[in-house]
Amino acid sequence: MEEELKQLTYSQAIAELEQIVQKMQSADCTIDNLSDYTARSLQLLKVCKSKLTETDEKLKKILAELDEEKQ
Amino acid sequence: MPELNLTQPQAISLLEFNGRIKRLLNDQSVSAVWVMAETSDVQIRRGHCYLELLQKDPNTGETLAKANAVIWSSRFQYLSYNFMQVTGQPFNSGMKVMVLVSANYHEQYGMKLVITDINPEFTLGDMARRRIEIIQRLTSEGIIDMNKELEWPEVPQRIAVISAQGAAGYGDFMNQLSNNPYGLKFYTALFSAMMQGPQTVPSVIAALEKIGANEDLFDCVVIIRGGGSTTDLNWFDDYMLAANVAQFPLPVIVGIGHERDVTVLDYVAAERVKTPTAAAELLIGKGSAALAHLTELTNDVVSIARDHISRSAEQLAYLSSAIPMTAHHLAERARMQLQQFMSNIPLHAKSRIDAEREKLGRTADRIKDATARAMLKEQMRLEAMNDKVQLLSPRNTLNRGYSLTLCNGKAVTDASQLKAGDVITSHFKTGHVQSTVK
Repeated sequence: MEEELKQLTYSQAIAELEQIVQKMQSADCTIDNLSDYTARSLQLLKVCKSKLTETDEKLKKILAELDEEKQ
Repeated sequence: MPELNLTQPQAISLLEFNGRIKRLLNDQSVSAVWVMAETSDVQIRRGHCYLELLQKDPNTGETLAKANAVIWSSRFQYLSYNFMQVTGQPFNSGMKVMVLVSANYHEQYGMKLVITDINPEFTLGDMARRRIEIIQRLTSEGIIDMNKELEWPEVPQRIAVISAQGAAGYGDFMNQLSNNPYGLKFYTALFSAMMQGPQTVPSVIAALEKIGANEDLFDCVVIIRGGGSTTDLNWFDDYMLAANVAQFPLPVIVGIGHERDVTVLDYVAAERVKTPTAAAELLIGKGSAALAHLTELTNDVVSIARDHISRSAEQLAYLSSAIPMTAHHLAERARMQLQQFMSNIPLHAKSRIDAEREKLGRTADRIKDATARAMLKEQMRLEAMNDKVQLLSPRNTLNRGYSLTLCNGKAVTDASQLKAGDVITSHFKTGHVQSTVK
């Protein structure tokens, strides 16, 4: 599960998130699948937020190699 | 041996000749005349402005006319200030100008056109005209909106920066990005380029090509310059540069001018901002909007889940309260039904009793009748029997002349039953006699 989440891009994660929220708002959502939906959406929210606010060292390194100021 | 020719033509000194030229030029037709030309090789030395005025063939670009010119420092201070005020550009090479010139010839330095006035409106108009021509060309080629039509990534975080290394504007941009108050992370790579002078166009295009080669690593491009007051944006009004930006596969943000200055790049870039700081703010704004959206979604998820749970709890509570109520309701209904039955019992009973009583009455009457009939019948039968008895009674037989003989109280019907010595009693209609058998 963790690995699968890490592979997601921000766009994929936010798209899935929007879809889940829509499902949760629909009449089809029951108390039985509510817990699954909530858990998944909170995981996706965490992924999205970390992509915005936590440094991706790998990416940082790749771009630093292209940065003429740091060469 | 050649013969010495002593009859040489009369010659004058160069100084005198130059003096004649100078005098010839002292003519109104070459004095204080407005001339249209293009500037070239503009140099400021000791406050004086030295330049070349050119006229080029608009089709071939070939130089058709050329003259050295000068603006003396006393005049240049005022004219350059005024020029900057109106055009937003410093007086420089490569500009179309309308200048008030007088031909001036100096015996020692030669011919120079002395400029005493500049019409900056003409230059402004020309710049605008040139810009309009470029824009028209980009429009007719169908590429002017291509960059604007690109889809922005959800959050642009990987940014290719084109700027002059060490420029104040670049520093401002980087500071603004890294110190954003939302904790957003941005990844930048600088592709340095000349941001003024004749190398501007080729170096910016070269930087764009380098970024294009690594397109997948970036979300957008930022072209920034600034910090200095002497902005020379003319270099950016270039067809090749604008066409490159317009067709670039990533969205481009330009932040190269000031409020009043617009270049062709401002028309083709996906986003235009006034300063490098504003370019950073634009990116931070996109990131913070994404963060706000995430917060909104978090709240949505929580409130939807909470709603669901409370709705389910409510439903459960309703059901659990409905059960006793329903039971109570049912019991009450049964009780009322019972009561109704009970209250109906006496009524039913009375009518039943009445009916039974009536039935009984009728039965009693029938019994009475039957009894009377039976009594009568019996009476009649008795009477008949009585008659029969009367008829058959011994007395009656005796009356008819028969007698009855008894022996020891029993009637004697067979004489053989008697033996000698038995005392028999014979009864008659009246009286009896005793006899002894012999």
